[in-house]
This record gives sequence, C-alpha cells and structure tokens, in this order.
Amino acid sequence: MPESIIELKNLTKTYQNDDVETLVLRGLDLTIQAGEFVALMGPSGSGKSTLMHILSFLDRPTNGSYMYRGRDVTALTADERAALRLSDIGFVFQAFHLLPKLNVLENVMLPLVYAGASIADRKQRATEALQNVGLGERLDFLPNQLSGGQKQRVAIARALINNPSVIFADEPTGNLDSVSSEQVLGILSDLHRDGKTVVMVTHEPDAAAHAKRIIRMKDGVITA
Amino acid sequence: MRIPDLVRTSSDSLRRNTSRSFLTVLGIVIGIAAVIVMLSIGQGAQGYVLNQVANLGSDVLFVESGNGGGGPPSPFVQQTLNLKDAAALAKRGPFTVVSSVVITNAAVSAQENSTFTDIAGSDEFQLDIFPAEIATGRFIDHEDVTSSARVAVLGWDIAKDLFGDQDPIGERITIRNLPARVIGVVTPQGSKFFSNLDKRIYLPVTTTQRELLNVDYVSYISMKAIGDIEIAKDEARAILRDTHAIDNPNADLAKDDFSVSSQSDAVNIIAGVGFALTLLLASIAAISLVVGGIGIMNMMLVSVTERTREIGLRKAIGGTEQDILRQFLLEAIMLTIGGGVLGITVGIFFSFLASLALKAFVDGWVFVIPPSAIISAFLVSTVVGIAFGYYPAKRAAKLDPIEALRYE
Repeated sequence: MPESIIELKNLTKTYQNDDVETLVLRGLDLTIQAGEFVALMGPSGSGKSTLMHILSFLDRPTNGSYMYRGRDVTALTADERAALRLSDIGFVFQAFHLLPKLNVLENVMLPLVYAGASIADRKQRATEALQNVGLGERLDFLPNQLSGGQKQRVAIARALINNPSVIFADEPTGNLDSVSSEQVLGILSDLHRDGKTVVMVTHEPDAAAHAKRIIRMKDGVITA
Repeated sequence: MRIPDLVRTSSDSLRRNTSRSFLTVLGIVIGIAAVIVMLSIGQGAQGYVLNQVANLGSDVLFVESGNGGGGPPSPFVQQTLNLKDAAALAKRGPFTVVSSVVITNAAVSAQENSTFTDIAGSDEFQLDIFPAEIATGRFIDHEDVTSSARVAVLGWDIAKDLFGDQDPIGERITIRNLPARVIGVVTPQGSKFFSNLDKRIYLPVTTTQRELLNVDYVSYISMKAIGDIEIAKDEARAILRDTHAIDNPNADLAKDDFSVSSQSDAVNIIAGVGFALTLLLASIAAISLVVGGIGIMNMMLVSVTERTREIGLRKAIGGTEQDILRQFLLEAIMLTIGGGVLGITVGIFFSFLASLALKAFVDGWVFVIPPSAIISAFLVSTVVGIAFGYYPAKRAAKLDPIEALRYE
C-alpha cells in the first residue's frame, strides 16, 4: 500500500483585499500518494496555482488541514516552511527563474548554499545533476547563452539538487517549443519512474497526458 | 546560509555592478576623506600651535597689556606695561628671572643687502626665558641696556640674509635710521609664538624704546617663578595693581589693565579651541556621512526592486528571511566599508598634499594622521551601512515569494 504524501481536508484559501474577501479555494479534499505524477489542470482563476503554492509551502491555507507525510503543516511559520522547501521541494517554473548573473553551475548549486553543503560537495553534486539533464558541457555558460529548453533543464537540475521528495512544476513547458517540451516532460516522466512525486500545473492537454493522474479544477473546487 | 557563503554572495553581487557600486559609495568616500583631511589638518594645526608655546617650562609666566587673557600680544591693546613694572616684579615678586621685551618691525640694511624683519628690544635676561645659544660674539648685557647702546644681536637666518657667509661681528647695520653694531649671532631656534626667531634682530630694550619707537612701554614681560605658579600669578597681579594704582581688592581680573598667564593656560586655551574645532569638523563630517548614507539606502532600495525575482527565487528554494536580510545588509555594509577604506586612502593622500602645501608656508608644520580618525572612519562607515542598509534589507526579506516570482 503506497504511502500518502499529501493529504488535504476541507482546505480553503481566501484573499483579503481591503474589504473584499475572495474565496479562491473552497474546501478541497485531496490525497496524493508518494511517487505519483499528477497534473493540475483548469482555466485561469480556477485556483490551481494557489493550490500549488500551498502544497509547496510557498503559501498557507486559510482553513482546513494539510498533512504532509503525516505531519500537520497547516500552521507552519515562514522559517519552517522555508526549511521544508529547502529539504523536500524542487521547483520548476514557467519563467525558469535562473539568476542571470550566475553561471549554470552556480545556479544549480544555489539550494546547496542555503543547505550549507561544502563547496566541493556542491560542485560535485551540481555537476552530476547537470550531466543527468545532458548539460555537463555547459557548466560555465550564463543563462542568456542557453536556449529555452536548456534553461529549463538547468532549472530541473537545480530542483533536483537537494534530492527532494516532491517536484512542483508550474507550467514547465509554457515557454518552450514542442521539441523542448517533449524533452522536459520526458525528464519529468523519468523522475516519476525513479520514484519522485511530481505535481505539474498545466493547461496543455499534451503535457497533462504525460501525467498518470489529472486533477481538474474550476472555481476553487476539484471537479475531477 | 553560512557566513563565508553570505560574504561571497554579497561581494559577488557588488562586483558584478562595480561601476554602480563605486558611484553609490562616492558620497561615503568623499565624506570619510573629508573627515580624515579635516582631522589631519586640525591635529596638525593643534600640534603646530602647541609646539609654539610648549617647552618654555611650566614655571614661565607672561604679563601682557589688557585683561584679555592668553594668546600672542595684540597691537590693538592699550600698552600699559613698562620697565618700572618689570623692575617692581623683579624686586618684590617670587621670580628668578624677569625679562622685558618690546616688539616691533623695521627695514634693516647692511652693506648692499636690505630686508624687513622683526625687532625685539630685549634686556639681558631674554635668553634665560627663551633658551638659545650664542653662535658667535655675545648677547645684550646689562651695560648695553642701561646705556641704550646701539648694538644688535642677529638671529641665525637674518645674519645669513644680511651678511651671507661673512662674519657679521663688528659690522654696521642700519635699522630704520638707527645705526647699530653687530655684537653677536644666535644659533637657530626655529619658530616660537608664531614668529620665526631666527629672522629676529635683538636690540637693547632701552635703545628700541627711545631711539627707534620713542615710547616707554614694553610689549610683554616674562618671568620664571619660584614655588607654586598660581601663587606667583597672584603676587604678580598684586604688584602690578600697586604700580598701576588699580584699586582692586577683590582681585577682579576684569578691572586690571594687564593679564598674567602661564604656559599651561595657553596650552589649555589652545587645546580647548582644538576640541571645539574637532567637534565642528566632526559635525560637518556627520552631515556628509548622513547624505552618503541616504545615497546608499536609495541605491539599495533600487537594487532590491530590481532583484525582486532573484529574492523570490532565493526564498522559494529555501532561503529564510534571515538569509535575505543578511545578504542585503551585508551588501550595504560592504559598500560602506569599501567606501570607508577608499575614503581613508583618499583622505590620507590629500592630507599629505595639504601638509606639503602648508609646510611651504608654515615653518614647523608636521603631517599627522591620527589613528583615532582611521578607527572612527571604519566604525562610522560600518554604522552607516547598518543604519541605511537595514530598511532596504528588511524590505527584501519581507517580500512575499509568490509575488516576487511573478514580478516583471
């Protein structure tokens, strides 16, 4: 029996803008098993990004409960959430978010800097991670010398460097051509095969097709 | 984040923007350099002035006309002292030496050379107060003073100016219209009380009064006291009130037409002026550092805004608020300390240039860089970095990672 890594019960999120309260998530119940490859789909404004932010400890729910690996993480402080992001979460963003003035190797090493790894260890692990995504020859390139697909592979190497349990990919193919998209989705599928939990937000059915399970959202609730 | 990584992260991001970093700290550089230059010149001036009054011995007292206190004799004060006062002080006061001087200046010529220089009408005790050696010949003696002899003793430089390498003893010089015979030359003494003693010509005080100036006053009386200096001061005042017929039983100094001061009085006054000057310079410097600090804050705020996405990313991958705060605070501190070091270097350089220029005009000026100035420049630039870097760094640390990642 697979272990459930993410368990939401009646989770809500409201945003307070002046006097206007907007209910973005309206009582979600969701369980994701360890090692699943899940696609979160839905039109814009459906709440899928908000859900992903909460799942990845970038944001906190307003109500309800979030159990991560059997631990209640509903009310963690900012520092506790930062520590969890560092140890358990890998991010892949649509806009890559590589630091433009750091080279490829330095970008990938960045999480290890916050983790406090030794410099030799950082270099070795980052080099390996880049070799795994086929960029072992471009360690000293700057991000603007790379194609979009290469940038996203660097970002994936960075997401994997801390050996996280869950990869969150927010529209990872949104800025890529179809060849690069296939490459990136292939890597995500490989990660899933290697036992990682992958949660991908996307509105592209082709991308979602790579996932083993599709969660559809609309107006702050899960529809399927 | 560990400290070495923090330092590397902050210094890398400054290095990638070298020209901007430099321009940002220019205010600090100028502020610190100004502090160093001002303190250096201030200390140099104080040292120079103290050197002018020091080393006469703590037992030396001066009496001047007017009740104004210390400082060099002023030409605008009613001259009230004369040789009778000096005689009374010598006879009735607790003094080993009493020496009267009348100071003036005049055109002097000898053979084909002529110049304009200081004249000191002195008695035979002058060199007991201002210690100096006779190079050749002799100094003015008691007989010269009582007979108003037309004899002159030359300072070292003026002897060279008038006679070159020739021996001046026995030669004739003309002071204004007064002919005098050179009887001696004094060894080099340097500058004291803001006049170059080596350019000075000594005549008997009586000769100067009667034949040169047609007056009977003396510019100041100096004496060496026996016993407690404060008691000696009071005794000197009592004697002079008596000779000047001043009714002043309560010893109100404002009623006197003379003033008595010791060397330590002069030193204290100068030290007090020096402290006030330093305070003034420090407050000007403080303003320039605040202005520089605001420049740093402004630039750091721009930098935080520009790097919003970087901050978002750093927070997303696990950087804590502390990590971000420290990174930006350290950037600000490194900027200001870098500016401080640069400012100290520039300041020392310009202080040195200034001292070269001053040396050309002021005899005995010394180039000093007070170590306290360097230490405080360091401390101040660090404090400025913390004070003006904290707000931008706090702002960076408080950014919401989701908003920051979306920032365009």
